[in-house]
Amino acid sequence: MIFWLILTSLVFASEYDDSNDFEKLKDPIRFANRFFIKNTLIEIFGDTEQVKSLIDKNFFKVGGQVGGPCDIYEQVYHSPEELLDPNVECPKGKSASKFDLFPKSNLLRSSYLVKTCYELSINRELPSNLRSELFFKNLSRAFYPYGGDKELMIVVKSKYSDLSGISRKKALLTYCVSSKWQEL
Amino acid sequence: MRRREFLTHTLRSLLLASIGPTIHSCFRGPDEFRFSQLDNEFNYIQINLYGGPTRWMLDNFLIPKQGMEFLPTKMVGSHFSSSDGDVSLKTIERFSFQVPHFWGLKQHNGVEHSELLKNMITVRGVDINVLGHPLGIIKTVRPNSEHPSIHGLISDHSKSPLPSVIFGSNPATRSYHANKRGGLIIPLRKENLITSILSPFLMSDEKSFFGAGDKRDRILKEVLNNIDAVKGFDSIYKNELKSTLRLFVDDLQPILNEYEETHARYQDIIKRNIYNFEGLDINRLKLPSLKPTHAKEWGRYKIDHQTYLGGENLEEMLSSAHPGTLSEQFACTEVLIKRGIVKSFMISTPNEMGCLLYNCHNKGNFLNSSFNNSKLIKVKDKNCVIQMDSHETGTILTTASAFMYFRSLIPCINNLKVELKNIKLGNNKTLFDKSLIHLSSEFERRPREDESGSDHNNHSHTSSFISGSIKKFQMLGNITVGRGRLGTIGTAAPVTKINRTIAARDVYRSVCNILKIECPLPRTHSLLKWDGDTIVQGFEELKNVRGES
Repeated sequence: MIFWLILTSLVFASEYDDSNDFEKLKDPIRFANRFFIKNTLIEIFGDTEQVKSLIDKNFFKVGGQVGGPCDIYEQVYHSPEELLDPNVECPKGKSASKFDLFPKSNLLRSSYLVKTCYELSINRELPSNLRSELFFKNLSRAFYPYGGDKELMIVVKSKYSDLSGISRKKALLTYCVSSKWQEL
Repeated sequence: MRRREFLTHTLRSLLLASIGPTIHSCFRGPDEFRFSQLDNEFNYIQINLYGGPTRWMLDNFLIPKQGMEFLPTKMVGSHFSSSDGDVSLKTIERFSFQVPHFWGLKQHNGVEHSELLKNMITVRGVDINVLGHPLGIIKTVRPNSEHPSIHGLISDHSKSPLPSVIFGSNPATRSYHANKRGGLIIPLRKENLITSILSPFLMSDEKSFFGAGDKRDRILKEVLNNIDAVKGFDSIYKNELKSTLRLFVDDLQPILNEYEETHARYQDIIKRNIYNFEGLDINRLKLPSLKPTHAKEWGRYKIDHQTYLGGENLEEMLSSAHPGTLSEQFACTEVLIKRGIVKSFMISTPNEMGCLLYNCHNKGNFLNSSFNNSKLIKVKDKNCVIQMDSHETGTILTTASAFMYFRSLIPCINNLKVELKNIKLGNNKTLFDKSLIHLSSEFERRPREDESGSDHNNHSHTSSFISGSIKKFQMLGNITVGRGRLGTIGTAAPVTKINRTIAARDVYRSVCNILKIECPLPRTHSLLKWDGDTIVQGFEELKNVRGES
């Protein structure tokens, strides 16, 4: 009994006053910013105008939510209207240079990503390397070149082993919206 | 590390590791979709009147108790007391306080404005102590640039899908800053505010929302369930995806329908109240029809820097005036808070101009076309806007326009109160009990001697807090009586308990205290506190003390 009392008093003794019920925060994960996401998705889904415009429209344009500031010192103009590299363009003026370098988890970011991934995976033809027999291997390599998708692969393989067109697309979408490939 | 500390840490870790998960599961239950849990967090709605309109006739209570010293000032009034456009402050007693007679007026539905006072605490005599609108408003919403703004702080602590929605594009809205979660800043030039807020969930290749396609819904559900089944993925991200799915698939169309109905209701409320001039004694007023000989004599008739009232009926000039997007903002707030999608809002003005009333008719008024007083001409037909920042608006229009604006604002707040009250939560609580409405602006005004307008009084700020957890009308804060031309206009005076004037950072601290969020600001005092499950004022001090305004 005495031992138990000592134990509990030691455990709950604190140098701070914890009497209020203020909520304590848990740090959300940090994600890669829009430049990384855009480049990765282009690598996987193909460097075509259609893919680029889909990513730009659904994800890249909302820098305030998905992070990645532009660099106002790197803007190079071909002509007064045209920029050399739209990736560093600050279309919304100086404020676009103040976007978070790396965004934190938030619902809007998830929504934009789900929307982008859905349109790239389901509404389009599969990329050529994902039409082969080595589908799962190539899928894993595309998003997780350094591993880290063991658990995810178990779930995906258990559900989409028939390798039909729609199953492949669903597996691709699952990988696309999974979190670890985007985490820092 | 000392031996005792080592033992403490080791034992604490062992004990928590063994019993922690059990306790956690007992009290928290399984993760659910967050936006169905309305009673977990407080809602915060700030109505930010950026531009600093006069609030003497509303909640800047200058003579709260009978017998208090009060020195009248030109321009400070709640109704027209003569045909020449003199104004005076008329007060009535409500809930043991003297309040402007505006509170005794009735809304379209027969309810007195004072219904709101039952759940209100007003803090007057707050010293902002910086010059200009941008700095003034930043001081009220983000007093310290190292720390988040009020809405940012709430976002950081909120578990709702969209933590903060900020309407408008002005320094108040741009002060938004959070450490962990972004807010959504919605410009008021958008036609449909709710669609702008929900746009992330709108497919770009279709006009309908995600919920329109069954096949798509099924695929999304299946894929997001896959992610949920993967061990080792971050739980925060999993929950974000769940909420995303819920918004994509289930809830959008009912939200849009509800918004339409709610918006129509607020439009109707504004329309029925804004043109009711009862209590302003506007009929008494007789506008001059002759050209003035000198503009100085015409100060009180000023509309803006170039135009003067004259010849026409003031009621007719204001007959189609409206307060802009107030109804849309209130409708969005009500719909999204009732569904727990958003936890904090800022209702504000579209831009820096801080417009009070739009679409007023200038026909028949005098236009000073050459800045030469002898060349005043009659305006044929022109729409005009009345600013909240009434530097160049004379006594008559300042009083009439503020009256109209508050005539539409207070019934909207009263309606929001009723709607929130109708949502029942556990423990005999309603959603109104879990909401804090904060009426704020940057500062009160300092009248000009010739009544041609009013400038900034950066030593006077008023904040009114409305909540179901506030059970009776309360007021605190000291102001000076004034002297000579500038009488009692609400200038802050020191408060005994804190040995200084109340500062904007104290207001920030008070909001944190009510929302039970740790306040990051040092050297602050909370003006509001919890007494059981009731919000009461932090200290009782309400005096008009001798001193300059």
